[in-house]
Amino acid sequence: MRITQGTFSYLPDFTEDQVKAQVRYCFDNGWAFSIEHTDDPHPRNSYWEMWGLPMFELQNLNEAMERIDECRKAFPNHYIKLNGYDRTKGRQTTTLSFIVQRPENEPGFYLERTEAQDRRIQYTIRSKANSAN
Amino acid sequence: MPVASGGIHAGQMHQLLHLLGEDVVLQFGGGTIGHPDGIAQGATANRVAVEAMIQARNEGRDVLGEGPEILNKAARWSPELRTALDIWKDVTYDFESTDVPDAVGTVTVS
Repeated sequence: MRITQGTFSYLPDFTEDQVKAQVRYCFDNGWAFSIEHTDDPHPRNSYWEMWGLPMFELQNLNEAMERIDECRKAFPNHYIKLNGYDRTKGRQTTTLSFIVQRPENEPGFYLERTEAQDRRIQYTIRSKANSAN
Repeated sequence: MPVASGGIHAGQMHQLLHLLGEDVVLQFGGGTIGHPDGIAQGATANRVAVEAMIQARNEGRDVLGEGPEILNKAARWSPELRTALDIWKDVTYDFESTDVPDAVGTVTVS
């Protein structure tokens, strides 16, 4: 099940040039750029692993693409996403966040039911990806 | 923050983005549940349209001018968007303004 988390997740996977165009947009706006990855696609997983630190001062597009490739090589079967962060006063927020790599197989989630007091059903979801459990 | 609602649909995404910007709430009511293939499909069509538009905007394209082309290109691989564009293509906001005075000025004779 192709997870639809983040911006552009309803579009087909981006080409290298399309990713580059988005990174260029981050630089043109003066946003800090960072790379994160994870093997746990649970929608409540807000804490992906960071690849390096947020690159506040980086302005070189090729260097940014190289960093992304390094992460891809190190974790070829992880989800990898790119974030843009605007630090200007009044904003100070993530402005762009999109997935650039997905594992080959995205198995989806189990819906788990637990019977609680008075036979009330409590629902939770669990990732089918073995590595996440 | 501007909020748009009331007859807006995926086919107008370029105009909505151009007029209201990216910091906006877009409420597609009929434009979601009115999709002939189902409500989820309506939501998918809207999401595909907005993402394609934002991608183009970030790439530096002229969303207002190239909007219909961007939408049609995205619709080539998204059947939900194709259907939405086809059935609502005649829904526009191009009409005479209703905000005009009713009264006609006449000269009073004293």
